[in-house]
Amino acid sequence: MTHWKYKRLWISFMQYINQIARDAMLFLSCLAPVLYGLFIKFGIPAAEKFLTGYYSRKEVLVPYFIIFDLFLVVLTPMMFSFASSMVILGEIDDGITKYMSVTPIGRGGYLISRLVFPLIFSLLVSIIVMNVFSLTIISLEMITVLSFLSSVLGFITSMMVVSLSANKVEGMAITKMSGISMIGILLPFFVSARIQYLAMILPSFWMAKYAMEGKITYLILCIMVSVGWILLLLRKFMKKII
Amino acid sequence: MIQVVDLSFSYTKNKFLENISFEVSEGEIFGFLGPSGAGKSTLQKILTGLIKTYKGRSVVNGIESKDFRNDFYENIGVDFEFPSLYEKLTGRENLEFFGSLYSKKLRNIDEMLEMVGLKNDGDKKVSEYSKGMKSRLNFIKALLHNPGILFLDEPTSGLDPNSSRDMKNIILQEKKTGKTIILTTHNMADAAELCDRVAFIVDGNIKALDSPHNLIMPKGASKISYTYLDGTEKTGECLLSHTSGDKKLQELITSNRVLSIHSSEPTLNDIFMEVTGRVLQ
Ligand SMILES: Nc1ncnc2c1ncn2[C@@H]1O[C@H](COP(=O)(O)OP(=O)(O)OP(=O)(O)O)[C@@H](O)[C@H]1O
Ligand SMILES: [Mg+2]
Repeated sequence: MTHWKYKRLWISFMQYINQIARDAMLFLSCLAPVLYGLFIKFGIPAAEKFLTGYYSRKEVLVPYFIIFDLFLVVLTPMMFSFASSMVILGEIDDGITKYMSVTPIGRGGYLISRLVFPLIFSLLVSIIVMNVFSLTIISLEMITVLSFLSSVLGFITSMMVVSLSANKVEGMAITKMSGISMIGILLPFFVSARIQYLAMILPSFWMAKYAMEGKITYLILCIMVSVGWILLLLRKFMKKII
Repeated sequence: MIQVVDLSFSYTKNKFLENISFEVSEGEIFGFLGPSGAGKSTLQKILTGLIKTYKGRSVVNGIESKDFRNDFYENIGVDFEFPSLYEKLTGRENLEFFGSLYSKKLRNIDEMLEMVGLKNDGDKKVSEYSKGMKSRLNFIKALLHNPGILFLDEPTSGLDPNSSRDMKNIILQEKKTGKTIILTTHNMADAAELCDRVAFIVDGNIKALDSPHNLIMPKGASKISYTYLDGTEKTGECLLSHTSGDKKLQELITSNRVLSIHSSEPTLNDIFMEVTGRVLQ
């Protein structure tokens, strides 16, 4: 029986991957991190070379390399999260989510295959993408932690998008709006002192603080804020999928 | 097989399903009949464990509905009122996917498709199916893993008379294999034909519960009506059990003056109106 439990989850996850592969838009969005990675890996250093020559300064963009990296680390989970939201909204439309609740996979198993497996998958992909394309030399440890935090962020975004939208079109709009929360990454760098703490409800803000200063407090705060969001959204989300 | 005791539930603060009690034994076809909005689908959702916030008891196969474990569904087949199918996949791919969620041995997909007349449509995308074709595919999806208990929510709605006939035959066939079947319908004739017992549900309450036969018999006895010429065409009426008391009829018969004669039994429909004061549909 346990064997079947895992097999079911896997079958359901493959069904999710299948749906992404069959949908040109979702497939391309999952490739976006690689395109962006190529851009920062080759484009940014070339631009830096040009700019330092032009302004005859030692460095122009280098202090901001970590920002490009942070966008890279959130991009993979965000794109996967977008794909998950679209797949789940499509399945709600087709009545699949409700039906899953009366099969042996159950509502819980369905959620694991649509949110938790993708989280793990995007974590792995994100770690690889970061290792290949990252501009600043950050440790594998840091890469893993940041990838994990942003994968959780992707999980939360999916929950939010699915809970708040009635259909795929609204889902796309809300996904775009949730992109605004990425501003949390920029604030610690560009807004000084107290004002930046207005963004303290955004997990991305604490993630950026952690990446900047490496203080464990920021890591814990990021996790706490993330858990808060999950608890806040859980009920609405569960209601939505039956 | 199913015991429901003092069940109540509402989506809102107002009362809705109240004091629902009934039992369904193994191998029985049990019908929920009632007008739109009566709570039939809601009751099915409770029995299948989709709604867990009910009060009272709902026990299926020995297990309380709110406590169903995932494995419990290996033996349950559900055909919701609206199709739950991947529109972008073909009929066959849908059956294969949903079938693969069960650890039981599945029934043959081609045979099942053929059974409901979808033999040549298995490789078409569901988005290209008509409404009735989707209903039929959705129906066999519930049978694929050969469950012991079937919940069918208006399986024949939206079907043409032929498909509807086929589906009713399949339901009777499934009953023969020992399945317990809960059937929701608006259609009195279907209920009378298929169900061993029916519950009339109106405004969240059960107003009557018995076999179609027992519901019909004690209510209106069969009547006959006849027409004859007496200057103009006239009609007369009497109970089938009291023909000897109808002098006019006897006179007409002995003088060969009856123009037409009909007997009519009350239908489940009539009984429904009489018991609940409401019309179906
Ligand atoms: N998810 C829901 N949330 C709130 N109210 C609901 C929900 N589902 C159904 N209802 C309400 O509950 C009542 C009964 O609905 P239900 O679907 O059980 O009726 P039904 O007897 O199956 O009707 P029909 O014959 O039209 O299928 C309706 O008034 C409906 O508006
Ligand atoms: Mg209904």
